Amino acid sequence: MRELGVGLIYMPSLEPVLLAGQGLVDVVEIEPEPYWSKIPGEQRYRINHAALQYFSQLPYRLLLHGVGFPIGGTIPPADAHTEAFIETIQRLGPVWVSEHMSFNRAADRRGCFDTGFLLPPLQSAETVSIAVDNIRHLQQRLPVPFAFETGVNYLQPQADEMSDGQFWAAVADAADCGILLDLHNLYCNQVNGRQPVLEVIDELPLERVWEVHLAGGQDMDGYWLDAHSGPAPPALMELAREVIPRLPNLKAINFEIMEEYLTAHEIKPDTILTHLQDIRALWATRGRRAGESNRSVAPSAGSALPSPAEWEALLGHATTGDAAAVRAYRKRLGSDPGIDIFRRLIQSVRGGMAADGLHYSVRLLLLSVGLSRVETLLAEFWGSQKPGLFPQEECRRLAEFLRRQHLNLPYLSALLDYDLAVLAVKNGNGPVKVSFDTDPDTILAALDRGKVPAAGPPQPVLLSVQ
Amino acid sequence: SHKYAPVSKTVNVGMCCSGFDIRWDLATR
Repeated sequence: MRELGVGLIYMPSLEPVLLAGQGLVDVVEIEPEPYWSKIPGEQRYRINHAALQYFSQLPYRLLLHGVGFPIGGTIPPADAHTEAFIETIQRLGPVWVSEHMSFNRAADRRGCFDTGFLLPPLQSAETVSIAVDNIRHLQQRLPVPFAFETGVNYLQPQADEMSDGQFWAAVADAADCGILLDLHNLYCNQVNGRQPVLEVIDELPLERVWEVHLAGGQDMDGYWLDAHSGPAPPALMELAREVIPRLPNLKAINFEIMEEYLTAHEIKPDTILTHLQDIRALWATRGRRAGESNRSVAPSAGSALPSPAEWEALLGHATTGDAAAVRAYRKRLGSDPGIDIFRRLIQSVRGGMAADGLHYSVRLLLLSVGLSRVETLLAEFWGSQKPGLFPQEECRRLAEFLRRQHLNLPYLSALLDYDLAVLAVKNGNGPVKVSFDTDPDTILAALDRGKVPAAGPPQPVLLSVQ
Repeated sequence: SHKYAPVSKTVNVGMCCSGFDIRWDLATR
């Protein structure tokens, strides 16, 4: 497998960095799921071929990094996902692909549900077997090698759980796959009270590490979050200087940042370019001390642990459900403030989907009934319905919920129709006709200015969104 | 409720880390 070098996880707002950073960027890693959409009524995805066409012409080496169908759970990736993944691989030709050692679907007696977030698997021998089966199944179908990403975990370890390093090592060795070593995830885990980074490194088969992720984070109530919110902190860069020389087969280091933070934290392209220069200096040290292995793997008993499926249901409900679900988790597994951290993060993602997907409807609500009332409505919705994995699902359910509240707000119903129509059309499911009883241009323009739309002259308008 | 002939108009127009999503906060500003 050839070396790729230093790169970025692709975000459209990072284009100025790519433009200015020629010579600093060797590889671009693409998260494919944002360019897929579910075909209504079918168990398959429509792929945004225009985006793939664009990526295929980028003058960089490409990698693919899945973000929606992790391989650490008892519910394996769906065939529809694997087929879309394979089609994307065939279009873009990545050297390898990766996914998370996490789960985001769980099941109980009522059936499967999405958690809307990557959650940590129980680190037991039984979960190792499940993850290995998931990876082997993927390896049989994928045309390129596969690596899993080492995940972040805001929970404290359960008694009898395998350590982070032991768990990842056992999976990688048994599945004979690569490791995407996300050093910021390990750093979060260390800061939040889990296994220290260098202890994890001592337990890993370092020859299996093909790729490293670096990122920045932020504090929330004493927890260090994997927020991808800026450059890697100095303490993480110091750890990276210890770890990267010990990796004999490292092929790429990729930097991750969420584009919303570029604006919110006023991060300029020059800041990222300087950081990439620092990362290139790290890259130059790869493998220099590759013989220094302190590997020691101790077996783990795991006798008192729940089954992986029970763990997923307990954690999935506790992080997305009501107070009773949290109590059920505590009764079986003990109290852990990390549960509340996961709950808040999942709610932030659901709020983000609402803000983006129901843009005009949310703005009308904020202007008409105020932030406090809107957040109360969202909390009621989140308490009554599980998350949707894709924004279209989440926004459709939220729109239905809002209609049932009978808020009696002029234009709300038409704006919900309009927002959903835009989502549908942008995902290739159009055109869609939307009825307004006054000129929609006036309504949308007022909301764009941050104003409640004034009552317009009655005039039925049939708007074709295409 | 609206004797008015409908007017037709046309307008031409996917979830990935383990941190805090700030899009809602941005939308309220």
